[in-house]
Amino acid sequence: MSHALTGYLFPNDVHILWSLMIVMYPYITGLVAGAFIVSSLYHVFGRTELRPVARLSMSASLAFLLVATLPLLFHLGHPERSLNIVITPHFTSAMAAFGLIYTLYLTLLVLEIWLVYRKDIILTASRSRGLKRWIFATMALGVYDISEEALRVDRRVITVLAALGIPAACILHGYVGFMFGSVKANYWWSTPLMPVIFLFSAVMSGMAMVIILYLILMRFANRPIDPDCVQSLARWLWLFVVMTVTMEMLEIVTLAYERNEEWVVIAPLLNTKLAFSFVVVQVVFGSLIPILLLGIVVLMQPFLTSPLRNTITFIASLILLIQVFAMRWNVVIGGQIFSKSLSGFRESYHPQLLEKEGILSAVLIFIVPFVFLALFNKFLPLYGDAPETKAATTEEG
Amino acid sequence: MEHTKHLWRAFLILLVLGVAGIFVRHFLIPESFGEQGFYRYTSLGEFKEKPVIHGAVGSCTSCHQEIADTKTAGKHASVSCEVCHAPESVHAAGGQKIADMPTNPSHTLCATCHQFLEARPKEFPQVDVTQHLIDLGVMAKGEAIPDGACIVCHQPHTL
Repeated sequence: MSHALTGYLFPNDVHILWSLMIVMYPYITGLVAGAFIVSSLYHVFGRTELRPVARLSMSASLAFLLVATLPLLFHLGHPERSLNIVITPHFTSAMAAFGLIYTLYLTLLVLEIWLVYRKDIILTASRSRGLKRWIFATMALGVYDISEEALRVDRRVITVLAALGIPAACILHGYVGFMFGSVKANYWWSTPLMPVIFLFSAVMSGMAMVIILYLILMRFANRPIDPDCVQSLARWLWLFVVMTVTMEMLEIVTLAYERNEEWVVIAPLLNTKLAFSFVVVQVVFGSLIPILLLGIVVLMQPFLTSPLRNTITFIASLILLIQVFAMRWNVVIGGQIFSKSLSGFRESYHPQLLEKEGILSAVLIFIVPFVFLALFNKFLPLYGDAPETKAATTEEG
Repeated sequence: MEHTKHLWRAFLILLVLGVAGIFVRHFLIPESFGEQGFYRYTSLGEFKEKPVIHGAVGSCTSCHQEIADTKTAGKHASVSCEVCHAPESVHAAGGQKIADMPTNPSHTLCATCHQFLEARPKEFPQVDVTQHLIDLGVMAKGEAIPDGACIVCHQPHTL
């Protein structure tokens, strides 16, 4: 114990209370927002080459959204009390906005997915019997209208919902960043750039996840990979990586150049406690390598075969998922390692494998959305290029 | 407005869910919530009903004024009796003694405040308890710290 702390720490600075679960929460929420932005690039901005992943990204967004609250519930000593913040939200509390934002976003997403899959739902209902027919008929709300006119109306509503979804996704994740950015006592968190950085790295992680899911799904389904789609995703991802990393570095450079009083503790924090997770994992391995890899994919497109480009994009995406996790870790844990007196550090945080907020819990929580996606795929295809579904999501849609 | 039947149905479902949500919320809000502020007002009454565990300094000095006087002259003046002793409720009820006050001879009680920590202000008396006892020859390295090790030399009331 006497070696665990260095320098002067306030009495309430001794423990790291926001654990691995609080790292997982913004990580998963980021994947929600990012995957949704990919689907919006197709539905709102007309990036038709992203059509093969339009459904997958939306479904992935929902799958991650459904588990987004799990880490928080694991973190709470009394998870049943979490309802109180939803029932009686106090509007001076940023956290209390959560219930409203989450419900709004969930409603938008479910509606949009329902409309995108409506034709498939109706076709499945009319093809099946017994319980399956009943379930799908209920999902179709008893209306079997798949006339061109009805689908045209659907497409229009989908565009509106997807357009509304963009600010909703931004609010959902911007608010998570705000949660940290608004803690004025903590110099590592308290910057107006924090919500923006969270948002951009969320888009980055969501895109990377969609690329990985798409490539794996196509491999397992034994279907051809659309090289234009992956190429386009790689280009978007590159843009977002460059912007995210620029902002992440700008924040550090500003802190380092201004040399305000907080630099006294931020500098040793980056040099010692976060040397591995920030400098090595987040900056060198997680940012520079993907920028180079994706740069190769984008700039040298004519000289590389599409399988090679797909592989490089896959590797870059995997590294970026690690980068974003490292970023969340460095923010959440890093912000608790130093004392608010600015003159001391506590021991680094090492989550245990089996504790309630430990590594196993985190892994299990992270697996659940993939199980959801696999189940979803059993009933409705995650890839939307079957002939009969073409009309449901047309280019202008 | 043809071909929009499904949308109207979805809208209706959302409307029903929304209204149901407001309805359910109404019943979930505790009765006295917001009466006197942003909390459940009747919770104050519930707290009042709970048995008193700690009696605070006054409850001790009514019988033990002489110890209180000794302590007030020492360095532990600002430390309340029940911080080191057990709560008043295990010892007295209604002004009468009901049981002996248990004592805690373990060094961990003293170490709670006086174990050496980098984080403590330098002027605060603190010591690495194990090393201190080894240096004094009270125990050998690797041995467990015996009960009462601190109070053999340090008297908490007179310090």
